Amino acid sequence: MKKFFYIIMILFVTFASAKDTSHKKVSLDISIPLLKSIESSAIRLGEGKTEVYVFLDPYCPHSQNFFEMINESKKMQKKYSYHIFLYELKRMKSHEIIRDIYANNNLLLQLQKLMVNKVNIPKTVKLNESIENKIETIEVIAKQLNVYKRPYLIMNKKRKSKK
Amino acid sequence: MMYYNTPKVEKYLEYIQKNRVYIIVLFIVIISILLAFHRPTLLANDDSFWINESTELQRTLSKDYETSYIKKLEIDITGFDNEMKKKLQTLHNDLINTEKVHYIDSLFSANYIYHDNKYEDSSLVKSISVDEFTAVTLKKFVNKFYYPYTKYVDKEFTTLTMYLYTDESFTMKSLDIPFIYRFDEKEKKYNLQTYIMLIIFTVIFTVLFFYIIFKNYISGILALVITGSTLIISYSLMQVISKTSELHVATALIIVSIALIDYLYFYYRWHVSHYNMDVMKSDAQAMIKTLSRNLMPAMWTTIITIVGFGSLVIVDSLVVKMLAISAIGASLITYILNITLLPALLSYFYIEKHKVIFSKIAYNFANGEIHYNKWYLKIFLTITTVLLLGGSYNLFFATQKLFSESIDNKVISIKVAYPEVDYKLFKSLESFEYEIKENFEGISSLDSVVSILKLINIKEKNSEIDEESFLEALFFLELYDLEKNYITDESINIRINVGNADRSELINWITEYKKLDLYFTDMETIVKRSKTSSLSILSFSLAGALIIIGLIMGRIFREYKMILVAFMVNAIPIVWFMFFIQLFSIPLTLEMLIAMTITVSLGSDATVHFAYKYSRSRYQGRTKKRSLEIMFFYGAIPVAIGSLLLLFLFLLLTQIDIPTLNQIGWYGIIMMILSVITDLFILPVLLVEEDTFKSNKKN
Repeated sequence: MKKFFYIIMILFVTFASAKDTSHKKVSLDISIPLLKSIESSAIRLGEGKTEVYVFLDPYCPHSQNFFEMINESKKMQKKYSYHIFLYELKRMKSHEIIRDIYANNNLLLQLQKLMVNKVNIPKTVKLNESIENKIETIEVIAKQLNVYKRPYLIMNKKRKSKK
Repeated sequence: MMYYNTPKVEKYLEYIQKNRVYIIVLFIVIISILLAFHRPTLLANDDSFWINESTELQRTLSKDYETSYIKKLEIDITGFDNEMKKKLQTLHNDLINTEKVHYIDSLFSANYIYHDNKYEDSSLVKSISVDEFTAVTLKKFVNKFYYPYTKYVDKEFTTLTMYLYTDESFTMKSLDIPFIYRFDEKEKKYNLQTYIMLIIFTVIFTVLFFYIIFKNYISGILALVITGSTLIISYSLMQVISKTSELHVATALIIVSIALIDYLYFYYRWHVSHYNMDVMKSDAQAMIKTLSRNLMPAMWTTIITIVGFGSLVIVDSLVVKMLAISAIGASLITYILNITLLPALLSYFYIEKHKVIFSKIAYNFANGEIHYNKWYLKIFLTITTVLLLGGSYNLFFATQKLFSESIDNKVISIKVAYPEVDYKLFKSLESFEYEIKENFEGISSLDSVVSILKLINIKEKNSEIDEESFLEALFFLELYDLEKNYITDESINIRINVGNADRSELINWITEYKKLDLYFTDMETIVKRSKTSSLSILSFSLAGALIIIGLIMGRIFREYKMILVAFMVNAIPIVWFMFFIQLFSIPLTLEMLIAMTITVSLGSDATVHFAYKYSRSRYQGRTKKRSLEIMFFYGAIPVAIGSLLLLFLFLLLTQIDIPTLNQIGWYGIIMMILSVITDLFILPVLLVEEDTFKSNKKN
């Protein structure tokens, strides 16, 4: 009986702590170097002092809503610098469209077309390994950062550099 | 000259008699010139005085922060449906488009922050505009997340509250509001019609009152002449000294009260001195008696008032200065008028009916009080002393308590100057709000950038906001353009709904909070802050005046016991009044202090006149009982007549729809009753109790 009680307790603590840590934000000390490593894959918008790393799914309505707002607001572009990563939300089945966006030259324009203007963008016919690698790298980093929502924001205020 | 010496006034009166025409003409010329060149503007609302001398306002203005009057509009609503929502929203929009309204904090300007939890993987914080809600969904939303909206509406949606940030002159009267509503607005305008009506009524009433008492019209007319002249000269004096033409209307009450009672001591003596005299001789004799018996006590009452209130004239507060000058000016000018103009005017008249209706009552009082119960007196004085000590402790060590008020429901608006909106600032603001809520549990809501950021961060409500969460919340605040109500270019706005916390203590606490650079921006708080510091000075000075009055009385009568008698007699009405206001948790206000100033002025007059008459009689060898009779007949009757008239005038003020005058009316009545009771029941008994003539003077 005693053993059974201990097992139940251990299971309870394990599950409780597992639930608690699964969505826990990774500290900036860890997340910023990881994000910097994929910064070249980011779609850039704005020129403000505070950096916003955003994980979006092009088909997610909330992501669309969010992108529309920052895309329209000059104030938000002046105050913040956005590094946008496209990261699929499985239920949205958006892997292909993400690939299509990354296959184009002007990523921001494609994103605006798709998420703001709601127009189709050119399809990629051939499988491009480097694009697949890019998507995969973003996914790996996103998983390490516990990115579970879209849009998912990580904010980092640029520190004043010491002279 | 000692109190038992009688001044020789015959030659002086001859001179007055000879030159009476010139004296009267001289005063007419003086009054006319003063009337022509010094026309004061009377203000019933004292806010502008406090604003002028507010260091808190100067601090706020030095930062170029906009100040507002926060006025609460409560609307009764029945059945909150879409039509009602539309009507209320139209009202909100109409009000905000009104020129003098800066901002409206209401259900229709509130932020509705919402997290879409339909999918676990969606994290977008949403802000919903009030237009997107139907009446039903708005009601549901508000009831679900009630705390941020408590100040706007009750759960049943029966009373809606809007907080209007306005200019001082904003008034709701010009607007058509299609609801039953309550709006807290003070009467600020100079209401000429009310004042004219008040003056006409006072004039008619005074003449009739004096006719009933003295059976002649001239007593009332002369009362008006002396009181009116004192008022005009005092006002000119005040304008010259305080360098402003705007005077508080309450100063008129101080001047009228002092002038009226002082006049009565002279007139009454002249009136009753016709008793048992030859008609031919009576006029001259009555005038000699009037002047010789009143010259010294009236002079001492003037000196007492000058010394007692003198220190207040140099206080750096216009209101306090005005009150002091009005008391001193009234006492000094009435004295001069009573010994110059009054004899000149009275020399034209004679009295046919010299009897006064109160004379029998005076003798009954004397007979009753000579057999006073020592135990009752001791018990009363012991209780009074205990209350006095308690009041003194509060005055010196817990001054704030005197101004404390509960269930105020006002809003305090603050600005915090900041160099940069960062996490450090957020933590400082959070700590300020935590401390304020810890210290003042009655606060009903606190609206600031901290509260809205917390609302945005509610998805992680159990966790403390770290720097990243702060940045994220701030990001959404800016994304939805919600920051303009909370953050301006150089300051953060905080709005505290006081609820049933003690506003006075809260303002003081905020003033002493040094971890943030805080500035009050609502005028009511700024006025209150300025008022509290000046009222503290006035309270201290009034307490000081009581001691000074006691000391001067001791000097006049060369009797240390007289110090205690004078102090106690003047302190009793104030101590008991303070006890009752503390008992019912009523904060000390300017109106009360004005009523107290009147009481102290009149109380000290009564003490001098009573003590003079009693001591002179005792010195001349009369018995205690006979001395009491004389004191009651010559001293107490004019006090009783004057107090009765003032009671009626104060009662008249209570019927006027001007809050300040209304309150002074009520407090004046209470103080006057306490003062008359003290003068008629306590002072005579104390004079008998402390009588030293038995041992060292012939009895």
